[in-house]
Amino acid sequence: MKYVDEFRDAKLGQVLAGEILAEVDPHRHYKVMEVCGGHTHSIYKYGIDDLLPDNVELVHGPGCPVCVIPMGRVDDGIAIARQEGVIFTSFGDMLRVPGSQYTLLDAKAHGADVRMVYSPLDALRIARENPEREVVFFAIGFETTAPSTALTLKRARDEGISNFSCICNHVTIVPPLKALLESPDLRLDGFIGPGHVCTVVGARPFEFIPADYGRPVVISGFEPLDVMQSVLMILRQLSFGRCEVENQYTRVVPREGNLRALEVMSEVFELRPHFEWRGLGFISQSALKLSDAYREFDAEQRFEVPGMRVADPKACQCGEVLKGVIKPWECKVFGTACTPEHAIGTCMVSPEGACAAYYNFGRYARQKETA
Amino acid sequence: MRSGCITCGDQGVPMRIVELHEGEAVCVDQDGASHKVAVELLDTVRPGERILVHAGVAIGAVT
Repeated sequence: MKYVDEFRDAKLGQVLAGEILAEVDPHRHYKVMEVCGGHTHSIYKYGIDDLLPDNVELVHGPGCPVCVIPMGRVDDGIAIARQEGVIFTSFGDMLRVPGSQYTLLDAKAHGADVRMVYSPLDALRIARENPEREVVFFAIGFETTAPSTALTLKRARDEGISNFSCICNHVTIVPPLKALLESPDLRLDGFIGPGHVCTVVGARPFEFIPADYGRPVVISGFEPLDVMQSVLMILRQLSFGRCEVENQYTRVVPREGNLRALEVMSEVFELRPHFEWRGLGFISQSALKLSDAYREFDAEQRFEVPGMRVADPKACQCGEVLKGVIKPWECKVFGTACTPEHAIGTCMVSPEGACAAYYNFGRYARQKETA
Repeated sequence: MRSGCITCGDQGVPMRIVELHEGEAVCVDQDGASHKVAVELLDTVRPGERILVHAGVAIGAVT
């Protein structure tokens, strides 16, 4: 398909690998963070890290929404799902995230009516078809996903659907990046920016990174050649002493974003004062809740939820993985107690989690061979 | 459908619009599979155009 196949061309990939090799200073170690879990997934699926010079290190960022959801929020969802008459819906990966005792799939096995949906619009359709039941959507995701939730809630209000509500866990990408840039643990040389988040929010929200922290950002697509070209663009900025937000993904990302999506989001959502991120703790103004105009659709208002903070399992080092401080295979339980089949940490649940990406695409086996 | 996680940008799928109805388009993905997509968040769309779809909603044009 146009815009897909040409960005997976192996010969062009080799050419780009040569250009990257020619661009690096052999005496320097480069640390580049890919912010989005989609990039992490592409890097391991296509073996991009194997095509890069040894002194160019890709560090995985916090951009997998399933990975950063704290256990207490999962418990809140399960508490709603177990109530009489409720149909509880969410995306597939979310159903496998462990709470303090169960996953939502475990709750389903114990009798709760938990259903996987592809879109929040599917959850709204279920509400239309089941007017005698309460249908709840567990909303999760960054600014890529928030517009679909906003559009769904707008349709629910316009159609007067009163048996639909949403437990909102949408998060925003800029505040955790600021937290990471302030962290003394991590020294980064540049960022591969989240292409599809930028489709919605544009490039402007990332301009503080070069302006305030002196690090280049290249907004990137998700095909293998997109990621490689973005690495090259970051290295060139560093070589030439430039520092700015560049857009590699021009075929999809307009500089100003999607203004109509932003308008609908600002009508439906407002910022939470603070929100807990797994591994990163509480971060100010880093998540969305429903605005007063949509308060009637807020499941946290409609149902009783425990609202308890739950500490992560002691053995799990998802926090360090999410901050890029350790590699997935350096976690004590990686590949032993924690596997995709029996995940302890969230990074092993989603295919975009750094641990699952390592595990699923054979990196774990390779690490063991070379150890 | 591509592998990956629905809750993140990886699952933004380029599709081509085949038919347009009010607020909704019938689109085909790279494998030729047909999908109903909400297109209210885009300014103007026409059959034949390519769009980026995430969770059943078009979030951008592919140009």
